[in-house]
Amino acid sequence: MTGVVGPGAVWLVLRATVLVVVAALLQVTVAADLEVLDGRPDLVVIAVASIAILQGPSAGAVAGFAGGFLVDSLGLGVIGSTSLTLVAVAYGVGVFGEGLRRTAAVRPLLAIGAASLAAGAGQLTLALLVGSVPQASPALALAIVPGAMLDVLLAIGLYPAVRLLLRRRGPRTVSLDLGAARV
Amino acid sequence: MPRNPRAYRLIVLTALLALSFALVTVYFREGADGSLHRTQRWLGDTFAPASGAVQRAVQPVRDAGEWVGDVEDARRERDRLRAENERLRRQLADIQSDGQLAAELQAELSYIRSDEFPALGDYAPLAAVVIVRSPALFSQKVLLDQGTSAGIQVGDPVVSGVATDETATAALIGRVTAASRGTAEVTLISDAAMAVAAGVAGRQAADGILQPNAGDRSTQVLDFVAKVATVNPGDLVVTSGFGSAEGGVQSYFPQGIPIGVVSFVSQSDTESYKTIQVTPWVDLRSFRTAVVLTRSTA
Repeated sequence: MTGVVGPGAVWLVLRATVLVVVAALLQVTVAADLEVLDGRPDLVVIAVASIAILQGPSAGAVAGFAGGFLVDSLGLGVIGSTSLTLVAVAYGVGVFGEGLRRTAAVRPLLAIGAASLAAGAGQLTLALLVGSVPQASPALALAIVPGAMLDVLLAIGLYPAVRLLLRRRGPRTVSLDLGAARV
Repeated sequence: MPRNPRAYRLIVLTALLALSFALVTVYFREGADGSLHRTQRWLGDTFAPASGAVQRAVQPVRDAGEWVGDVEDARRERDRLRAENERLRRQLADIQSDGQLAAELQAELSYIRSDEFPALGDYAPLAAVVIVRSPALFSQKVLLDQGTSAGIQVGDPVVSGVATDETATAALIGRVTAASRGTAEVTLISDAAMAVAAGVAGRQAADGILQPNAGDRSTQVLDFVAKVATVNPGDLVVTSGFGSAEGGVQSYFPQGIPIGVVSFVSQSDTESYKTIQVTPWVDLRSFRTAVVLTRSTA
């Protein structure tokens, strides 16, 4: 992953992988039939967007590909279709996340909301292209909005958790002030 | 790996997008036995235990959520059924009320047209329903749902009755004091402004003026009855229906319409006339139907 060097990188990748797998598993088992306020949460989008914000566009794109592949495979979808969307969305979110401080609280949530909208729009476009959805309609497009709002609400709790999970564990720098001498 | 990180990540992006696109293409082109479909089935089998474990783990939460949803649905259904029940009750009450009104009116009309009721002469009975009852304390008036378009004129006598399965009786309740095309205002005999020429049926010299009893709104007083007249409690009081031979002064009411029964009689040496208390047949506070005796000529 970008910017990750040393043995901690393996653990970071492992944690990110576990995160994406768990998110995909929960998405196809729990979230798929969970409808709240006319919206359906997309845990994979939240996880992938969070990774992209915290680890950069390349890591986000890889997570998006993996998450999409898993969702399509486990959810009996067209393999590659969700990946195609999530790769592009995660990359964009990652580029946006580069300008954010790691401790930023509100903008990441907005970015996740935008990612959810973009992912929904992308999946709708693909569904129209491959014929899964026969005809575009404003109602279909508007149906994406409640899900995105729900994702933002969930991200209020999940994004800090992902940030905690993916925090870097480098060596600590200790500075001791011994009067005139600095060690 | 290129040294420029920006170029590196663009390569990653392009490669992943291309790979995704290739996967979609291959997935569509290959058959159900293709490698991607097999991979999909294999992954499904591999993750099946994990999926099952997750399903079992979240089942209590899902059950709780469904329970909350079911309770909410049940509440909505209960409210809907309550509203529907209330509406149906009202409908039933309306239907029953309409049916009862119709039966009452039919019985009253039958009675009035029967031989038991005094001959109506030029009068024709017209059934009507009370639609407004005056709420004023000192005004005893009701509004009927028939008016001049049905032949009602100001001055027409109005009777009402109590109908049971076996018998029907009708008695005077007032007269029309105002009328429009669709409604008629009836001033009841219990109104302070009303006075009815009445007498005790079958008694000689027992005619007088029936007026409201100031002390008791549920009774009337038959005044100006000579002391020589013999009147007993239980005697029937009817309209006397006087009229001059020349046709000038004439009572509003035809002769012989029942009003009520004598409930109390007394006389004293200091009084010029008998004191006769009359209880109307009709409860003037609660009747719902009325029959207007319309005149065929003005």
